[in-house]
Amino acid sequence: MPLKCPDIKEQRLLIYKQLILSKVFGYLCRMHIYTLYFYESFYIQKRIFRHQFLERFCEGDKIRMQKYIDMFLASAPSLIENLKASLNNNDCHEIASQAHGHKAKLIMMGMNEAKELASEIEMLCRQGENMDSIKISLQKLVIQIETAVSILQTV
Amino acid sequence: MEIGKAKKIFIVDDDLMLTEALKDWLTRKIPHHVTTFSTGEDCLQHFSDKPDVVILDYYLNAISKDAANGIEILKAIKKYDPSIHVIILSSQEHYGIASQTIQQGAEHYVIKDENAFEKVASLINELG
Repeated sequence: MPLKCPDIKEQRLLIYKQLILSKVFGYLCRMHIYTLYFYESFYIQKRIFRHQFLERFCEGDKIRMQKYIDMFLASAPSLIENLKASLNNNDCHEIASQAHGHKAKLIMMGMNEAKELASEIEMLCRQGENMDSIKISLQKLVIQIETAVSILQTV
Repeated sequence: MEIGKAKKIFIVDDDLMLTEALKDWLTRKIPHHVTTFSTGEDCLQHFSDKPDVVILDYYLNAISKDAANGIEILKAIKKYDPSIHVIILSSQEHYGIASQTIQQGAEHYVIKDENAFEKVASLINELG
């Protein structure tokens, strides 16, 4: 009994279909990842910086808004540097002073989470709490400010 | 809202962005004459200009580490001229500090939040 040879044409069609399917699947995976990345960035931006306060304060005047954004960006490097320096020196009083002194800026920039962190740090310092918990909050605050700076620099 | 008359206002705060923004807000609808200072000592040196209202922060040592705090400046203002209205504008949410400033003669204590500028403008309009 002769062996039944596989139909080459059918095999080619099968392989071709599998190739197309794998390409489509790969494309869908990439789109899914890009979408997740977009929404994550969007969500992070919305969490860190909300422009509603500034927009309301400046009555929608983009030039005025940019003036305050520029003022914030100009002060941010020294703020970050001072926070890091006070963290390295374990200087609780200085940490509290720095955290307190910049809360208004954070409110103006709609950085509510950062402002809450600053309030928490100030309270922990003034209560003489453990430096470890202060350090964790302070590092989060620095990250928030650095992220806000990178977002605002592209605005 | 009834619009008040223009007043001479001193703003004393070591946060330059906030003083600029507050000055901007206060002069938007009423042509108040606003002068800003980063320390209380600077403000006291200009008291011959006779301000109607002083808006004063509590901690003033961000730029000059040895600068006197708001309570000390408030006492100096009231000693110089008790009729000058003082509004404390501070991020300090501690009740003890707020009551201390009122005891020393401050008319109002406003916490720096999203509505602080509107509150301050409204309080200034209500002052005689």
